[in-house]
Amino acid sequence: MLDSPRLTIAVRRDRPPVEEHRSTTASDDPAQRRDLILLERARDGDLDAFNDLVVLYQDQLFALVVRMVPDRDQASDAVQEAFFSAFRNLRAFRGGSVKAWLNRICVNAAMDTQRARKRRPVSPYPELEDESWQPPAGESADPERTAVNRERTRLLSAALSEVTDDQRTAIVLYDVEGYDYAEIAQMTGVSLGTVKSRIHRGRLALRALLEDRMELFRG
Amino acid sequence: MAEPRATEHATHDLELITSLIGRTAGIARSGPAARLLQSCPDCASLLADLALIAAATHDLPALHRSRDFRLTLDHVARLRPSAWRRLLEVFGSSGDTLSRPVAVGLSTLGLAGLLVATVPTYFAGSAASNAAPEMRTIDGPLVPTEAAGAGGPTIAGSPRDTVVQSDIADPTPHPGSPTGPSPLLVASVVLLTSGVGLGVGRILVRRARGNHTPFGVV
Repeated sequence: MLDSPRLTIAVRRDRPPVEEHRSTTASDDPAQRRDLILLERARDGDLDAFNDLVVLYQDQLFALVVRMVPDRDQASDAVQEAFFSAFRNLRAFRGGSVKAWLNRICVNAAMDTQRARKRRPVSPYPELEDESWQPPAGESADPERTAVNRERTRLLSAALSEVTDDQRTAIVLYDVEGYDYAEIAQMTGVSLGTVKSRIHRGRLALRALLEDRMELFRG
Repeated sequence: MAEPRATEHATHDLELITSLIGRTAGIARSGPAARLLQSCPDCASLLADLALIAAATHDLPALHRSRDFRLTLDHVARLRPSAWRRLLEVFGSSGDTLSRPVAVGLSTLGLAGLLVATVPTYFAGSAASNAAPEMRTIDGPLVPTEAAGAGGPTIAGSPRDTVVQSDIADPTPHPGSPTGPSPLLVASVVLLTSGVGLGVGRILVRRARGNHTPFGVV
């Protein structure tokens, strides 16, 4: 079993660049330099500069938040609120990575939405039945494989939405966004042990939910 | 045989298994996790499934947004805080559902108490200074005088007038009478200080934690 060619260990995406928390000077990374220049101009009142930052990161931030809040409209509201919050607090930016700063704001907004959802539950995940907001398959894609991939995505998305908010947040930040335990602990305001526990329990919960359909994942 | 095996698997530390997920170096070849995987087929199967799920999660397609999140001029106009909101921010952020209302309430009570404690004293002092010239006309000729106050009036007239006028106009407490600020004044200052202190302290704590704030890391 351990030598099976089908067994793969998840390879995480490239980790986010290490932040230089104390420096407000431009780093060697051109993207960071660009972001800092746009942020400085936004601080001086240039709305177009701020909107350039929005354009750069709105896709990635929406993709993050919608995995944490499995309701498209509420996720959109959370992302919009996050950008409002970033705009209001431009002067509070202390330096480092603008992208990471925006990520933290979005995670907080998503967690606020999760808490609100607990107080006012809505009917779960009708968007999972609507494929219009999923990326289209390529022209050369095998139809059968495409169908299997879509079904796997649908099942996994449904399972993710059924675990607890905390577990989902931890798994999305770890597996999808590539943050490590310490970064997730800082973003979510809990201890390292709690992050590990949430990821551990979340994984087991996902496996329990998908146990009957694991053949889709085994290839 | 299946039952004892299932029971034994239930006692295994599954966190050892899940902790292997995400390591790019591959499965550890020694240690408690490796021994567990070699001795328990259920653990090995669990690891395989968890790895597949983690890989699928990693590869989840990004979902398309249906809205453009750029800010408009209308947004900016609404986002600029009014003077009132800037004042409220002294007492904490809008996310403080308990501490901010408490801070605002304490500060308001403190300000109200200060007003109640100090305004009557002010008007009493004014009334005394206005009454003094009338008293001077009773027995003695009208003479120009300085305004009655703590410095003591210089009044021309009969000694009797002087005594009466100084008694009325001079607010200086006499020996033996109660001294110091009123209890209401003290309580008001305490309330006001508590309210402002609570709000400012809350802000400082949140910044020190660096969590759940929209601000960058200090």
